[in-house]
Amino acid sequence: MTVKLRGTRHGFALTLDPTVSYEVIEKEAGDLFLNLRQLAKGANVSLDTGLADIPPDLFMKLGEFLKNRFGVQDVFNKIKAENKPAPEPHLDIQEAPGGCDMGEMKMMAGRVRSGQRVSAENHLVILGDVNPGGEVFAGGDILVLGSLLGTAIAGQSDRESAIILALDFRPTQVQIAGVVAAGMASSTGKKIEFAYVENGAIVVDNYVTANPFGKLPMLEER
Amino acid sequence: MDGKVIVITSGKGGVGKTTATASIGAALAKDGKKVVVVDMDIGLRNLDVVMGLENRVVFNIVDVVRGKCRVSQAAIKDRKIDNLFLIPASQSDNKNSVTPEEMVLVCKDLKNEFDFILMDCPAGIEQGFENAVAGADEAVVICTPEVSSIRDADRIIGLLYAKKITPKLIVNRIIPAMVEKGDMLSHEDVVDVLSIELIGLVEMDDQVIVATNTGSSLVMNKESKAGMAFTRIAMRLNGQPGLPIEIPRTQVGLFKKLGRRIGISR
Ligand SMILES: Nc1ncnc2c1ncn2[C@@H]1O[C@H](COP(=O)(O)OP(=O)(O)O)[C@@H](O)[C@H]1O
Ligand SMILES: [Mg+2]
Repeated sequence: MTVKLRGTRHGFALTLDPTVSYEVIEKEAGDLFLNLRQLAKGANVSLDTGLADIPPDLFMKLGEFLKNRFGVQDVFNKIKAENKPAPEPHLDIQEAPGGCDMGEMKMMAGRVRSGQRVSAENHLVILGDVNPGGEVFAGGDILVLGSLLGTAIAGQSDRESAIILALDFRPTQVQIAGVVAAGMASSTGKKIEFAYVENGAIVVDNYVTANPFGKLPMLEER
Repeated sequence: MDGKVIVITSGKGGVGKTTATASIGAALAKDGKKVVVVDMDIGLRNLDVVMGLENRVVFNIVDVVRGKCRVSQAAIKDRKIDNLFLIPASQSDNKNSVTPEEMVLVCKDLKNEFDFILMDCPAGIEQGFENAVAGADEAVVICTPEVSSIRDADRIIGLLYAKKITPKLIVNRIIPAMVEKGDMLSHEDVVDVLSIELIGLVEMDDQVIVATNTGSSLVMNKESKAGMAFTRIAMRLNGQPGLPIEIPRTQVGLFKKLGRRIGISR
């Protein structure tokens, strides 16, 4: 397979190798979209070739194919789209870029016991506790709405902006991107704390007093 | 008869599985139930020693599985308690000598002949554990107030849930004086992490060693706090789940005791 498909916040991302012949790309992309069934209808698809400029006839042909065949709404170049300036802030909550999309967040209820591991491609929310010897692992943030006593590994593999938050923050070990903190003094009393990376080291702070996101000028997507 | 198979397990060794199996089995039998305790620690047989039945061992659980003898031939009757039987482990085989599928079949047979079948599980999470758990309807997890024991118990609990068994918890080897000084985890600390139903708290008791060495039953000794705790655990397993759990404490002076009872001091 030279073409890969994954879900994103905005729709779907299609990763492909532009040096492969168009027939192969169309066939593989077609098979992948066939599996999506009605999900493809009205979706936005970003094409990622690794190049800033996708060969125009590939872009055109594939775009037309996906729109006609599967009812895709819009096809755009991932790299160009990323370099676009941020949209103007506006107050319509529904359309605010921070609008929560559960599709990319994994939420689990229960207790992560010793020897068990829960992982999520992006953000992970645990409604419950993580016991010593248990492990939570995420590509993005980890929120534990309970006691975090085990190991939490966030921002994998290289998202240093990720945070790990727990209502009762007493982990055995935390790791954010490539930064590891072990044997941290456990906090006394139950206060809501979170860990983040600052200057290449992990810092733990009181979430309520630090209020890290409350200071952002506008809503931001995570 | 439609008996119940209860596996007694812990993950870690030396926390009191064998002691609990012998004691709970004896207490259930004293209460009139027909009970068999099965030593699943194949290769490291010791339930027979604890029960003082070592010299009567002829057949064992591996013989039963292989069809070399009938259940009634392998089950050794206790010396003092009428309805109590032991099926010993084999000392010369290893944990892979039987399979979980074979144990399911043996458990079916045992359920026809006994009210309670208690499985004394070996330490670890490998084949020996799988064999002991295979035919079980219920599980009792034994844990001591130590971090390593809690960690292993937690692992076992996860594995039991995956097998659709909801385990119950016994905290053993509690030393009240140490707990009160803050030098030992309290049972609340243990339950906080494991969060399963607690069915008993057993304190550290020299009588356990005396009973083991003399091959007598702990629950026959009315002076033994551990023996009494196991008796109450047996009652909870035998149709009295609501029986209050007594918390081991050091002796307190009369005044303080009175104060507590009428609720004026703390
Ligand atoms: N409540 C207790 N008080 C004192 N000693 C105990 C108690 N429970 C267990 N022991 C002792 O601890 C040791 C291990 O117990 P055992 O039942 O053989 O554990 P396991 O079967 O889990 O390996 C034995 O020497 C036993 O006498
Ligand atoms: Mg044992």
